Amino acid sequence: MNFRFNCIFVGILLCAGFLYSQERTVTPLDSVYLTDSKLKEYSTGRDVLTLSDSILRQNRALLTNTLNFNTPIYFKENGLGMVSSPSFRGTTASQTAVLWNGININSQFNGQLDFNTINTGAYSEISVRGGGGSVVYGTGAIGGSVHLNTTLSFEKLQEHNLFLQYGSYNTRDARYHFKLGTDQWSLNLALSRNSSNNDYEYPNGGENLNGQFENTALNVGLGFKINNKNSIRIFSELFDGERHFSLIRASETATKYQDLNSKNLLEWESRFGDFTSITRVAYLDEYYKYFGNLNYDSFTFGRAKTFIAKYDLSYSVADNVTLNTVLTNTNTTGEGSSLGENDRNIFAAALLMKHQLGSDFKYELGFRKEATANYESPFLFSVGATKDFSEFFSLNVNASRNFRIPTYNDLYWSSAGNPDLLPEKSLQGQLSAVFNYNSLRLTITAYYNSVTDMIRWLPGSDGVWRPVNEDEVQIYGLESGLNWSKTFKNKHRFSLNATYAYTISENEETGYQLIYVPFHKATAGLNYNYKRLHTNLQFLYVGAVFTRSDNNSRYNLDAYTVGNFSLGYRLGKSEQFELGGRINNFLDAEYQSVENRWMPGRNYTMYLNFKL
Amino acid sequence: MKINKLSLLALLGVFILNSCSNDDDNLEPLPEGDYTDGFFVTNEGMFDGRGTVSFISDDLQTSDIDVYSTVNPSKSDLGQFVQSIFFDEDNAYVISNGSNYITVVDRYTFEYIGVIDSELSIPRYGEVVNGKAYVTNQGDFSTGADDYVAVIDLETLKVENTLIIGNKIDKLEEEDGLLYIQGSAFNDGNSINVLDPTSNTITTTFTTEGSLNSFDIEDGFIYALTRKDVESTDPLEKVAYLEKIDLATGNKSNQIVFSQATSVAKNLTIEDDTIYYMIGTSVYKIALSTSEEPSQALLTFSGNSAYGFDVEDDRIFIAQGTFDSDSFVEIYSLDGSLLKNITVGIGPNGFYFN
Repeated sequence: MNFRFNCIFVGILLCAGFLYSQERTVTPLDSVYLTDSKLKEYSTGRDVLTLSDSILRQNRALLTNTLNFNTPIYFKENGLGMVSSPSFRGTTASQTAVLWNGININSQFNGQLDFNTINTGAYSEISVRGGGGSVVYGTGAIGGSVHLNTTLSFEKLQEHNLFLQYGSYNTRDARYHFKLGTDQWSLNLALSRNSSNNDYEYPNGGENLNGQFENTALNVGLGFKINNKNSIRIFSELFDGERHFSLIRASETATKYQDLNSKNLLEWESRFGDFTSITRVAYLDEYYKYFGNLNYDSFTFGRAKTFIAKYDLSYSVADNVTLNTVLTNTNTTGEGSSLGENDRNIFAAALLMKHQLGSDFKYELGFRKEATANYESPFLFSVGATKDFSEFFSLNVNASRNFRIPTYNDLYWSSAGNPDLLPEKSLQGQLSAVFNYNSLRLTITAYYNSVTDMIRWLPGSDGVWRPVNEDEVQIYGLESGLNWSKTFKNKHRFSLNATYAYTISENEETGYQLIYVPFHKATAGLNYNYKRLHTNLQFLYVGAVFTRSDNNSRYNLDAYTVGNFSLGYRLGKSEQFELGGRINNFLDAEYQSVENRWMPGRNYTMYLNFKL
Repeated sequence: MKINKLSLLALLGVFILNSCSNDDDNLEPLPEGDYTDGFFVTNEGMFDGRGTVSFISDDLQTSDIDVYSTVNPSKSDLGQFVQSIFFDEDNAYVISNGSNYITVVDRYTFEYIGVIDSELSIPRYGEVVNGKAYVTNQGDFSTGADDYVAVIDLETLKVENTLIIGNKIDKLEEEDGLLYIQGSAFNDGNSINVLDPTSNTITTTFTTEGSLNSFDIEDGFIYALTRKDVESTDPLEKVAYLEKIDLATGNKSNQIVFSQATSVAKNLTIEDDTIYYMIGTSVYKIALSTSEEPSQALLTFSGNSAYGFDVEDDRIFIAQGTFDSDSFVEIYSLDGSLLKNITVGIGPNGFYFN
């Protein structure tokens, strides 16, 4: 596509290969608890990319922006802050699972998560795992999964972090994080608010009208160790957002969308002998209102209340063998303007096993089967292994069968829903090579994914659009990641994180690449610290995409390169203040990720970060 | 039907004007422009795209997939979801229901003339009576209570009056100086509102038994295709009716009760005393007076979803409902044989004849 950029990118990779450092990547402290423990324990043969809260603060508060600049996931965004859907490894918008503290939060209505309805300021860390994960995470984990996590620290700790950011288009971003801990108690509270007039100019002279948005998220994690064997933890989130949908032309009908979502999880962990049991109950409330014409008060809505009960029992058969069963019952009551009211109950049983053989080889196995009256559930599996050949080189392999269940809209939409739909199924395999050399880490993953029974809404012979199991898609590609850091003369600290993805995702019947799946995507982030000074340079390259199913290149969206630059200075005796500024899109690229939906040109923000 | 009136007029003309001298100077000059001899296809476009208009010549030999951009490359586009076109004298008015504006072009050259872009809210179809355009607007989709007809002064291109109809409205047809408005949208609604343009009031409202899909007017009668839900294990099953309403007396009758099916009769149009309609992708034709359901289809369209449909000048026009790439239309002769398959834009929904 863009040959010059690819050359530069490969150049960076090669150069980086000759640099080295004595630094090691920091391993998480044992005192830090992550409720989505399966992400660490059952990712054998897979790579997990984790973005810490300090990386999150280097990006806009909306999840789309953070992931777009730091991961291989491609995003289709209807203008800044508007509806945004991912394509992870060439899959469709509902084939990326999003987990909140291990709980699947993809919408019951359309199976997707709008990545601009997530405020990243509410989380301690965000992780991304490529490839199928339905055995552990259920529906939608086909292209990969995104994990929004709250960590709990059981150590003596009191920490405040206040981050304030103000920028072009009256964009305000405030994030407050409070951590309090002892060896028995832990509290993690995050409050985040983001708003913007979002009235940026278009390259063609127009203006982004009716694009304003605001959202507030409160996320609390609380843990208590009752004794050596028992502990209780509570996680809770409330999200309240209102977003107007921007107009392409001034005379168009103005609309808006409101979300009010809450997520609650209570868990009790108990250890006895070689067993660890975790009992979880979760309650999710997903509620949206869509105002189809702002001149009127009327709206359509959807509301789904989901109650989840989960029992997770793991057993250490031996020092090097663990068995784990997870039983989950998910009950959803959903209603909506065109849906009526429908109940859905899904029972799932999963069996996991992992085995460490010697110091250089481990493997894991996983199986899952669901029982529900709503659709025929396939038998799912996952198998993964890691072999270390030397200190510098290891190989990872993983294969899995995954699925995406039909949604409420697919099944129950009035006079269009299709009760006979089957889940979408995916059979995939991947092989990764991991190179570690001092502080340099390079991973290259090749994968193949065959997706069948893809659900697609098509006009029937009577003209009414209905969902059918129609398409088969064959996806293969390469994904690579590079991390490197080095300190020169104890003063100059550099770090580099880069990703590159090459994706072929084609309709089996026609042989055409899916629309809005670029062949190439690359990201790069370079940090440089000198004494109290900190700078960050981010790049995003997205290759051209087809917008027509027949791959008619006349309508392609052009490739684009976007760069952001930030500069900060730490003040105070213990450097507890950081004052800085950012130039977003400093190349002033004119670009759109969806046809007719321009993104902003060069714009600016100032920030203040305060730690206590 | 239009042809029918024209030929009647021509016939009358022969009798009346027979005695006049055959003076060529009295004839109107033929319109000039690249698009004089042919027809337009309105293409809705993709959800985030722009609608387009395709042109196809009468001899079906030449076509232009996006005639507006060809002629007016520097003008702003036709808007989201090009819904329909109406004509008045030398002008064509292209309605965008997603962008709430109407682009005015020369119907023969397709050169941009102007735009009507205020006081429209999901405009659908238009007709011109006495120099004023009457355009149906759906406003808030969830209710018909706010649906209105915008009366547009075609000299100033301004909406000079809005007439609230009070039920869902869509297509409209002019007959003997009155406007007959389809009081249903997407099969929701069961009335035909009669608007008198001289008083700008609804003088009569006819109601149909089933929910109204489409109608046409011929020889003092409304012929309407309607449908009703039925008890069935398959919730999608319906039964369709051909209802006939006497314009003078308002008397109603069910001319045909079709057999129950998941895909029922739709898209009624009358041409040369023959009713044409579709079931699924098949076209049927029956005589105006027939009360029997035909046993056999006239033709079956090669696409999988028939979207736009029309019968004009001894030809049948069907457009394929493809919304993710350029689509096609097929033109058939009245005996059902395929004349030509021609590529057009995305989501073609209607045919407009020069």
